[in-house]
Amino acid sequence: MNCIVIIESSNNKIENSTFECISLANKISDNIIAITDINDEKIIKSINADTLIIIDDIEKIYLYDEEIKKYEDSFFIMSDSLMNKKISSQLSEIFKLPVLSNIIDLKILNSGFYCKSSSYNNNVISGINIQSGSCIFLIKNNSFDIDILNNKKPELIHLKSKKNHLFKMKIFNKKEINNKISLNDAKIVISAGRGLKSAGNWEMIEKLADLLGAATACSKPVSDLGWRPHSEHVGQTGIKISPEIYFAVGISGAIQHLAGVNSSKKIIVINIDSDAPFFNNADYGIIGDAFEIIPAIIESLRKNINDKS
Amino acid sequence: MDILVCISCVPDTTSKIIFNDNKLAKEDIQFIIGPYEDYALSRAVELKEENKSINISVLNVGLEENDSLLRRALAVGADSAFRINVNPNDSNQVSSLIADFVRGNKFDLILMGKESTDFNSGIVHHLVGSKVKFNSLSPVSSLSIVDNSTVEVNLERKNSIEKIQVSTPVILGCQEPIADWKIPNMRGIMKARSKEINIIEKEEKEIKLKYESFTSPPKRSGIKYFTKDNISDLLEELKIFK
Ligand SMILES: Cc1cc2nc3c(=O)[nH]c(=O)nc-3n(C[C@H](O)[C@H](O)[C@H](O)COP(=O)(O)OP(=O)(O)OC[C@H]3O[C@@H](n4cnc5c(N)ncnc54)[C@H](O)[C@@H]3O)c2cc1C
Ligand SMILES: Nc1ncnc2c1ncn2[C@@H]1O[C@H](COP(=O)(O)O)[C@@H](O)[C@H]1O
Repeated sequence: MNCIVIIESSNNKIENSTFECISLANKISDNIIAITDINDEKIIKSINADTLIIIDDIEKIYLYDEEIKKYEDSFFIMSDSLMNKKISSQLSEIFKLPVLSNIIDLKILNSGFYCKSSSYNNNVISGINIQSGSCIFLIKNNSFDIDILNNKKPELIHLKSKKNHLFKMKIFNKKEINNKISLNDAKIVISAGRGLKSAGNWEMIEKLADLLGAATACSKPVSDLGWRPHSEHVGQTGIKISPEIYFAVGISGAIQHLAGVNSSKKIIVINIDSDAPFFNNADYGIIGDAFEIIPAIIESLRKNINDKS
Repeated sequence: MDILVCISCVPDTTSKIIFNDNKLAKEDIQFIIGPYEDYALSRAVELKEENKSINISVLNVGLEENDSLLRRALAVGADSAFRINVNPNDSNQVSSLIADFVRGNKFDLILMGKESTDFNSGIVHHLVGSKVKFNSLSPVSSLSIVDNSTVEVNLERKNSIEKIQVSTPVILGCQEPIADWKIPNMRGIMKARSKEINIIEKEEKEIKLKYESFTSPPKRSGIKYFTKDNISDLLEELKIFK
């Protein structure tokens, strides 16, 4: 069966999560069709696919329904992102296929598919059998390994749509979120809570994030207090993330906070209170004052960088 | 303006989620209106407080046990409540049912949560939108009405927040800080008591997706402590040193 992969990019750079999808696709299918709106051949050359379909605006894939309908005998893989939630529902309507999100494991069976999906705020893993027909799979970040294999020479197909956009929308103002690294795609996240006591104290958190190439996050009360923007708030009512490494600094570890971060691969908790509940859900702990520990980590990283140069 | 708020009824986050024989053990669980939908409902009620001509309907796909939460939504300020009497299996099935309901009624604004806290799919709004050919935007963190056929929202995107004016009908996936959660007051509770919950019967369609097992994710293997003095060992172990 063909596997169609949607390519997601940010500032003309293909996201790590997309490379996860491409790697997975190559393991379970031998004909990969990637769809992208990046029009720079240098960049899309890094995509290990058999066919590359280039369209103008990937978020309006429904405009190309007639052209892509001929790939009917396919299943779909894409990262579970805001953009792909929208794209997948358009594809779902075009191909009459179900969509499954939060996929952390996927296998092709003789007939159909078997996959695992994380649900109930990462408290339950469902095993799902798709006995007949195909499906659209949204892959949870950091669930599959990335192979840097690149041995295919994709055929390029440029598609132009003859249709017009359906909906009227006027964008008045666009505020860039000044996260240098997007929270969803980050491998490392440094998150801090009310334990930091005031907005000004985030300077050291940002410094540490800079050194590690990490994204910054916060607990809900911190964004409620206006110390940090709402876009950084993780948890049950905020963003859900699953980075390789999650640093929780001065965060108590309330269940609503854990709901957004407990599928992180490694959790490091820094808290002055040895009884903080977060220590029960962590891989590494440092009991101590954030205002001493964070500068010490920064110092240790700087020393390591200097030793190397 | 006619507003529809779609609510899921989900376990309170502090509940322990246990599956027995592939069925959620519901006995010890406190069910709540999904937190994001609670924001959506609260914003709808705020808009109605400013403009009495707004009519709010709430809809749930679920079984009889959810009626008390629909009644709560009425007590908070919704005008009428509907329940499609089908056990919700997954987001695809739920969105087909909601789409059928939307086709048979007239709504200008359909508010949902950014995601349910059971399936966590964050996709029902877009699936319904694709089915009924309405625009769908999610997550939105603010909502105001511009005129009879236009609303203004803040839409969160990957690297930006966009202020957008969009024409109705439109489906929105809501998240905070769109509104403050509302708690029903005595008058609301009394008023809700006399209202009817409209039950819609539907045949269960054949299920293509078979949920075979529900298990807990692997537990963390235990914590390892470090101190200020051996931080470099921790960084070494995390393979952070380049
Ligand atoms: C329905 C609902 C939804 C919610 N959703 C979310 C959500 O999405 N995300 C979220 O985060 N919360 C959410 N909450 C709130 C949640 O219950 C907690 O109140 C919140 O997570 C606590 O934030 P905190 O850990 O930053 O603050 P606190 O609980 O005040 O903890 C601060 C911690 O900092 C430590 N500390 C203090 N000083 C220092 C120091 N010098 N050095 C190191 N450590 C120090 C303290 O020991 C303490 O553990 C929700 C609550 C409800 C009811
Ligand atoms: N059973 C349901 N009944 C009514 N609305 C629902 C139901 N399940 C989900 N929704 C709505 O769809 C949104 C997204 O859900 P989901 O795609 O499951 O994460 C939720 O926030 C609700 O507003």
